[in-house]
Amino acid sequence: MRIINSIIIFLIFSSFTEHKYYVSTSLFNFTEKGSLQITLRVFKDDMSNAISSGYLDEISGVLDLTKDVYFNDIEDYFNSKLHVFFDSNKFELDFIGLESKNEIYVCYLEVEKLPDFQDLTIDNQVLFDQFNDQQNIIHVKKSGKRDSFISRVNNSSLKVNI
Amino acid sequence: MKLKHISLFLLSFIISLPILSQEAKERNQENINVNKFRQLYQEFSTPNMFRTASGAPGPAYYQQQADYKMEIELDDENKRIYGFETITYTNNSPDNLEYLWVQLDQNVRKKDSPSLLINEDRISVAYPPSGFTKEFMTDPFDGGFNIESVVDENKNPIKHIINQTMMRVDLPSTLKSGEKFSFSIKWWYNIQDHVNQDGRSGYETFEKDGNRVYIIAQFFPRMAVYNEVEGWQNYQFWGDGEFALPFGNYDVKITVPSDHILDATGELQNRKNIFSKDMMKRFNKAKKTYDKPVMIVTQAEAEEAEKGFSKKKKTWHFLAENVRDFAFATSRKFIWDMMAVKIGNKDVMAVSMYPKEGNPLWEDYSTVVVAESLKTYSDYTFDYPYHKAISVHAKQIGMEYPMICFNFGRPNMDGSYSDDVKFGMIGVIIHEIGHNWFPMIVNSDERQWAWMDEGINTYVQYITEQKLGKDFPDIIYPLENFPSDRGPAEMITRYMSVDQKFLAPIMANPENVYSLGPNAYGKPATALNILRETIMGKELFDHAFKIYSKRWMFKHPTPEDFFRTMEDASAVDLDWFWRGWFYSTDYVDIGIKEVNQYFVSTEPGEEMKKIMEERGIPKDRLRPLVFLENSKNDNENIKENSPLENSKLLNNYINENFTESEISNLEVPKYFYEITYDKPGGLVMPIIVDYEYEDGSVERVTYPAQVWRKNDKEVKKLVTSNKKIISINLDPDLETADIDTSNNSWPKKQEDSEFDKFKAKVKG
Repeated sequence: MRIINSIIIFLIFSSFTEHKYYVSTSLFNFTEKGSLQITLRVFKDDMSNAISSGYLDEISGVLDLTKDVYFNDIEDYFNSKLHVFFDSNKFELDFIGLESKNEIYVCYLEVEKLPDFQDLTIDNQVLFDQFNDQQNIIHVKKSGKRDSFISRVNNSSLKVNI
Repeated sequence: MKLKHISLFLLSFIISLPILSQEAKERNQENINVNKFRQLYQEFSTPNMFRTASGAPGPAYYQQQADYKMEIELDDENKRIYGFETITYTNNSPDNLEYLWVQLDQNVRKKDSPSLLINEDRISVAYPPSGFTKEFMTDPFDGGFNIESVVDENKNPIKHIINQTMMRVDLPSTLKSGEKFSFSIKWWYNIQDHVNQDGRSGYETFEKDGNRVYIIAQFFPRMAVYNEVEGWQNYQFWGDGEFALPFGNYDVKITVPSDHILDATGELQNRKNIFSKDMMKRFNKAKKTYDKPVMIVTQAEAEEAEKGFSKKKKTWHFLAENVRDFAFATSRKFIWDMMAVKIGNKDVMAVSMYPKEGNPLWEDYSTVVVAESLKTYSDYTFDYPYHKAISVHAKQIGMEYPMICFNFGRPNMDGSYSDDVKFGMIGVIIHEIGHNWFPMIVNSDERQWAWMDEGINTYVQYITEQKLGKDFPDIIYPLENFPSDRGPAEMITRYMSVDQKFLAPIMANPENVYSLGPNAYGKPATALNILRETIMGKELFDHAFKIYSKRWMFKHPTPEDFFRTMEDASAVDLDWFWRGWFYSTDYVDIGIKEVNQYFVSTEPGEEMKKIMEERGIPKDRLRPLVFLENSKNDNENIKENSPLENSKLLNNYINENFTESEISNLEVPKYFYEITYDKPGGLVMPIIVDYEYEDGSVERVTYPAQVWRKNDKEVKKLVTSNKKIISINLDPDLETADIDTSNNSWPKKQEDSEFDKFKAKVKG
């Protein structure tokens, strides 16, 4: 019987229309003008929990992170969770802002002037503090080529060859 | 017209020659049929007497039946359920059975359950004291069924063995085909806190008033499915994969504290004993009220009841016919409202139950949304056959059972709520009510094929959401359309463009857990939407979809039954579509590779000259021909001349062969476009193009998907006109789920990326 070889599916499969799968996707786009543009997509409520965090008093309801008052908190969060290394040198990421699209926040970060480099390492730990089964999918686009990687709690730092 | 035919013929003759003159440099490998349009003979099972090639139940189709008679008591103080049931199992199969399998889903919460060990643990570096003690200093939850007895009709114990969440009952004698077998089980189990632990059911404690809201499901040992596709569906319940259940009749008595408000699957038999005089009056009014909900229990009354903590008990008695499961919700906190809905020639009651914490959102929207869902789903499939549909408020849950579902959507404590919360709640109510059709009545096996109920349901959910937005503009104001997050083709492109190594097909059960929610909900729903809007058209699709729903109403379909029915009832060959969307992880990317413009020239053009050289044809030996030249080679700048001016031959031919009046009506094409469409993505889709002409007019052409059948990589199309084309736009309405639209325009559009647009907005 086929089912012997097939195991039950996945993280989500309940009639939970709510995402019970913990995933983010990000695009690291190396532009022709020599900058790195990062577009990161996370579920709104996950991000809201991450920013408000268990250390603060419980806030009822989900935060609207597009408000200016949260800009610094979000910037700090990304500084602590998202790291990019060019030839072992860590580069500061410029947090530009985020916008709301349906159930997701699209977050924009940038390195305006890239150095010459050989090796690229991306350490994406966004939301690892919230879910230990969080998976962060990373797409890298450079010189017309495209590759994808997945960053997980036990394996967050990825060397990228592209 | 003759002229067009001549020019087209010559054009195709000349332009196709270079291809013919190419030589195969290597020997090709042997061919197996990999054409994307090949029929799904190898993937589908051979049709048989149980399920026909049409996708309908066959003459030998059978299904088992499981009837339940239950007495249930809910112990509110100890959060426990006690139960006694008699199961009558009818063996309608042609096979003789030696044993039966019974599902014990609560056992996923047993202290020693292996399912507790399959997830990762994590440590946090700071805990509030309550969290610390809960995490490290309390006993593990004592969950799971405690089976006290399993006996036959004569109260003799029956041999049985429990394998985690499955129990095998060894029949005292063979259950022959056509026979029935009755046996009884006595059990109890501890209900878990579904907010702080996991689960699709359980209780929520409200600290402020000390009361609990119970949403109870999977609370009884119940029969597994036996059929000719899987034998016994005796897959373990790990907590994620869902359920396969047979149909049957339920007779259930539930005893709860007398001040609880309860509703469940089935018709309440002893309403006069339970309801107060006031409640009966309101109920009778609700049965005749079609425009807005009638409160059976008001918020004020519920708030009073919250203080009661009655020690007395009441028993609610329900009868449900032809259902595949049973669930109920009970609490003294419940507000209860109802409204009548006309479905076909019957009335169905739309019901909502919610604590005050759900207001004002729930009293405003829940029952109205239930009513609209009942109507729209009935329109697209079949009339809702049950007498009521209940939406129960539950924190962080979205789960369905026959006639009753549990839905999230809680405002902030001050009563305010965001659009996200509001639309999320409306969406989940539609979705869970919709599950009554798929899989409660069109009873597919959720453990094997989650997409058959989730994907199909999500598609109808999208239709319902959009209709709700149109019929109730106030609910979505100031938006013009309901903000559905699944359905439209363009919304699935991000998921489908994820690297192949992270994707799995819809029609596979991989051990690989990269499969995400989009795989079972979004992608199938989008595929159906594309079939409806773009491939088949609404009329053909809606009709076939209805046929499928009606064929398998109160039966157990498999994916093939769906695939076959959709083709069978529409005469649209869909094997290529199912193969691409359901059996592969291919994505759509169609583009405009090249556009060559030709014009009628005076002399043989560059390509023609090459052919003449290759074949050794001197110019004076050439037959009289109309020559077409690529506009790139227009050295004498004659491409804008009338063709009749450039080709004396053509001009003379027309004068000699057409009458004066015919000539005056002739349209002479001046522009000949050879457009090469290519397909970097694997999926086959129709080529939908807008040709925009210099006079501002736009012509929409849809080349059917079959255009790719002989060449999967690229195809050339000709467009001739006496007007210049100034732009060509592929898939202008974003119908094909094309993941990369940067190659969809000619001339190529330089569009700002999402990133640049946002940065410009922020930094100016």
